[in-house]
Amino acid sequence: MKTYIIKRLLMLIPVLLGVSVVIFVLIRLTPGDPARIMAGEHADQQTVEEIREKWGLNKPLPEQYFIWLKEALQGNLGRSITTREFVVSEILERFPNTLELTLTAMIIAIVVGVIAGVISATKQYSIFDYGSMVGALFGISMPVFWLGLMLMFVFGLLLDWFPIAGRLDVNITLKRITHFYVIDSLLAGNWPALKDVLVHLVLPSIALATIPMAMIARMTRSSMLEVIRQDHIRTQRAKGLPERTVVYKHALKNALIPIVTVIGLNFGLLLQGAILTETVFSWPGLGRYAVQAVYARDYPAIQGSVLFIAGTFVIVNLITDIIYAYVNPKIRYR
Amino acid sequence: MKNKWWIVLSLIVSLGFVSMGAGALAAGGTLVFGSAGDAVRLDPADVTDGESIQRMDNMFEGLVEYETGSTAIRPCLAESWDISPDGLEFTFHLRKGVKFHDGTNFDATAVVFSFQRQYDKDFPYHKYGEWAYWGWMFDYVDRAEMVDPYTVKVYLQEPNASFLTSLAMFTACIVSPYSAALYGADSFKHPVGTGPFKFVEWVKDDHITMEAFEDYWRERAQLDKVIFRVIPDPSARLMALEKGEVDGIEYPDPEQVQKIIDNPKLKLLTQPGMNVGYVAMNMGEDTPGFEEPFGDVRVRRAINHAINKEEIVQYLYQGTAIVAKNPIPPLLFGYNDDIVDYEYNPAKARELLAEAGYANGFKTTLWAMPVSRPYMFDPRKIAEAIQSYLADVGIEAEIYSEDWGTYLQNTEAGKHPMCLLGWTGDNGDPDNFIYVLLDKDAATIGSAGNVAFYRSDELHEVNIKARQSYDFEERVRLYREAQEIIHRDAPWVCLAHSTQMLAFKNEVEGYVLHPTSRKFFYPVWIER
Repeated sequence: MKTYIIKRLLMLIPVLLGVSVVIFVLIRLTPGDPARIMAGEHADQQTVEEIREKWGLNKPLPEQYFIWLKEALQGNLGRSITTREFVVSEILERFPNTLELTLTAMIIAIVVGVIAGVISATKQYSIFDYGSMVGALFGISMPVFWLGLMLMFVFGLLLDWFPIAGRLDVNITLKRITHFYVIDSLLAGNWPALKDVLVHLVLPSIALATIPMAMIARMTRSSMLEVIRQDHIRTQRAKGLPERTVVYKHALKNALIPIVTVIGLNFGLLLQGAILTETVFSWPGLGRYAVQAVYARDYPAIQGSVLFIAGTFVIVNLITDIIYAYVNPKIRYR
Repeated sequence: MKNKWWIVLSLIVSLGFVSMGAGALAAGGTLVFGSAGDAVRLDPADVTDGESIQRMDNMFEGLVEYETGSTAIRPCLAESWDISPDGLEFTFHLRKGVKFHDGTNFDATAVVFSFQRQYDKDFPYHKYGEWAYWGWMFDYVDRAEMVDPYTVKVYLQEPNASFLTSLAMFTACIVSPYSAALYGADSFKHPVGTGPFKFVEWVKDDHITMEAFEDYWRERAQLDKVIFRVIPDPSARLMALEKGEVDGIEYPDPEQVQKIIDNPKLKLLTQPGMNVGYVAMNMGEDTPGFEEPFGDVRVRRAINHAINKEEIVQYLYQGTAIVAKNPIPPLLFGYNDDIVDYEYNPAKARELLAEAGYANGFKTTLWAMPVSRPYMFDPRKIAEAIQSYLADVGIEAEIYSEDWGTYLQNTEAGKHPMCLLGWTGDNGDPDNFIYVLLDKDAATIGSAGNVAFYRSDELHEVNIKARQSYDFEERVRLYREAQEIIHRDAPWVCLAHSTQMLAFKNEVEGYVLHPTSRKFFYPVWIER
């Protein structure tokens, strides 16, 4: 198992190299000149040329790439062209924001999705079953953007239960150590901050959770329906085990493999959805950062964030694979 | 001045709401402003975007400043100045007893430092910025020198009447040399000026907090804190205002305007902006995009008659603009209101076209910007409207668009026959519109500000005279004349001057819109 994990981690290197080449070429093929954008609408040609020169944008492409790679191997992704800040520190400041939101959304999606799926399967063709599956269909087809604004309007503005923008009330001071606000407020023992962080998390994580929640519910239902009819389950029931134990301990465990796959895949979807959610809910995350970088043709920032997101994706896949082994001992890794 | 007791009383009431973890409150609470985007950098001389500028307007000051709500100039860090008879030397007498936020004294060294780092390539601090605006606004400045600790002399290469106006811009704000040396390459995130508010914290993409500067040389600001909070989505921004999470917002969508007006708790501040949106017709025979018909003034006038600007302003700007008849907006000095615009008259347009030999019309291409700009919210729809107006008089225009950076490059290179474009003024001087957008000096292929490639010697002469004269009345007269020449030659169809809008809660008092869209929160207080 250990060698397997090491092997998989080593595979990160070619993957990230490949991603870096592709993204490097792609963004430079897209029209738009970062020097022109940086200089602003009113700048003269000379200023634009100076900027291009200063940032090495006039060098041939392969040379630009190798300069970048050399630095990247030493953990330096360069300075952002627009903000002049080190890309690594910009990403590290924002990535926890995205991760905190994504993980909360994932937890909501898994808990609600699995429970809804199980109940639907055990009470097939009941009103609950129809209700939750129609709900799931809605969940899958609803644009995150629109859903976010609706949640905000109903629960933020009309009912006034939750805040509308950001991660934390701007009047609350919180020392940012890990940039995971839940952890930071716990570390500081700052209870008003913790409460505020949690209420800020509710709406965006629900908006973000909807699609994966729906997919998990549907997958759980169909997987459970298959398992629940198998002989060993019938045996358990015949043994006189309580229905609850049969369903949640024996049946669900056997139904988990496809569910874990869906969850793993959805994590990637969540990172995508985060871009929209972060914009609607004014969440200072990595998704929004990457989009802004694209608009500004901020090459170092785009390369850095794409690399980071790709790396996260690979690691999530690895974790999914490891979980397989625990769920089903028949799957063994060498 | 407000009744102090009332402020104290309202403070006690509002204390519970306002501050968690904030320090002692003195005057007027916290104002949270909902911005559409985050600042990029916080060095006033090294930014080009409005979001960064509006933060710095509250932390930095220049030698001179704009009068409230106008682009007229009044003394600020300089108490007075003398101009040499040849108009080439400006001597500034600096204000004494002014402190930077870091506790150091403001003096001539700071002024020279703030300017020299921008124009002198060998100056050690030059490498920390791009100084994009200096080359644009101050290329005629030769150097700045200290005469004594409170006197600075600035030498120009040629007289320029807009120099003082330009000095009120963010580019010419004075920064603390002590802090600039302390932070070096990171100065852009440690802004230290002499302004009414002092930088506290910056959580990227979330908010920037500043607090009242206790040692400010004027009276302390009424607000204790100003917080710029980033809310990129316009619907979310308005909801945050309605709910009270923020006290004011910028850039409400045109569709939201009525909703704000109908809400008794909110108020909408509007003012015609210092901008112009226009259609340029390429007259430059040497440009790649030149087409024969546009060389004929009758055709250009015909197009002016063919386009219904009232309709465009009413339906496409949704009323958030006024019709333009001149290239400069009415709030600028020298605006010529006597000019009678080309009225909407398709019959007359067809007549003029026939006169010019295009009775059957002609084919052309209309370039349209791919992005919404402050002077034109929906260029695509405006292009489509213009297309159908032109079709009415027999001109078949195809719409062409490409990404924004390339669009700017290619229009500057004259690859278009007709294009949509616009301009937001920098300093509030007519020179900043008429010279940079329509003078023959600005019609160089590849870097043209004058994308009509309109090269009138007559206009050039007037422009140069106006630029080099320090006599205000004469400048007014000259710019009025310039607008007559432009109207006669019709290189553009002037479309609209769009309105700048901010929405605030009713309790926010004392905010005055500035024509340059800069945002000064110094005089603001919150009524409770």
